[in-house]
Amino acid sequence: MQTSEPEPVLVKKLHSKKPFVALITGAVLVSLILVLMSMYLYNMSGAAQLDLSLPGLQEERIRAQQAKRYDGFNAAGKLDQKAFDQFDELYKKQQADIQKDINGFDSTPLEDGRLGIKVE
Amino acid sequence: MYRTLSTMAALIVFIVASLVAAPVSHAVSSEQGQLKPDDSSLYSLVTMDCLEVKFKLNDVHRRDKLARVTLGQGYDNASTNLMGRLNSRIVENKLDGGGLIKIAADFEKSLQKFRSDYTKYDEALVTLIKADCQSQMQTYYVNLQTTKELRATVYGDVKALDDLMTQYHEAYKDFRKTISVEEEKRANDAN
Repeated sequence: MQTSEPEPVLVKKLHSKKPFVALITGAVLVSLILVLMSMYLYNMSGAAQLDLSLPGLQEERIRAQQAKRYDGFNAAGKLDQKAFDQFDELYKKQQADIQKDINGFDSTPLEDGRLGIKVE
Repeated sequence: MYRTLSTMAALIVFIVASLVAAPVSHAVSSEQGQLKPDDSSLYSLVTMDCLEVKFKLNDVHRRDKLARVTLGQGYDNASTNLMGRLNSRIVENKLDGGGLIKIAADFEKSLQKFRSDYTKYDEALVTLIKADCQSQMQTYYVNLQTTKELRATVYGDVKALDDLMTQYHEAYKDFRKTISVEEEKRANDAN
């Protein structure tokens, strides 16, 4: 008849801890992958370029938040003179708002003189 | 069990490495691709205060971000909440608004181009802000010229979108006139 020796208490404790350690390591690795994936998507999708939540962009963030909720024109209903007038008013206002920023990407800010560059 | 775990860990490390390596290799290749060796000889002497230039570029970058957000919101509203909805209403009322629908589709295409061109310009500007200016002033200046060209493309996109908005409004006015004439005719026939 074989008699197995009882395992020491310390070895028993370590054995019982192994699955727990593996679980923690797995959870950390999975969360790391998810963070990396989300950062990759954040940069590649163009969301990073529209993100004004960075600390240095406080002034821009406040200005951007001033934009009110825009309901627009109703997609359903009859097209009568009243509806045409309403659309006309909304459209003209929207175009005027856009035209305030239309020169936002003109060449002036990157001109050599503006940047203090001298070329010979 | 541990073999499975170690295989999983190896797989995870591989995925993480791929995810990290992809953007890095992209950044390196784009940086290398920006400058041809002969380009820097175009400018014999370029003098600039690098700190001042980078400070000003940072300022331009901040203002551009706001302009991109503001213009983007404006164009999205015009496309989705105005043009798209009027077109839906025209279809719902079984009217002929083919011209308006075509301009709205062109507008949407131009809007996509604006977004993509801005992304390219923004990447070039950020690279420029981070680049070494002191030791490679001529190279830096050539990269600045490329960024200026990309900015000009974005400006062209904005102008094109503005033209399309005007075209849509003109087509809308013609459409309204046609509908009014038809309505008047129908009223006269009824009388």
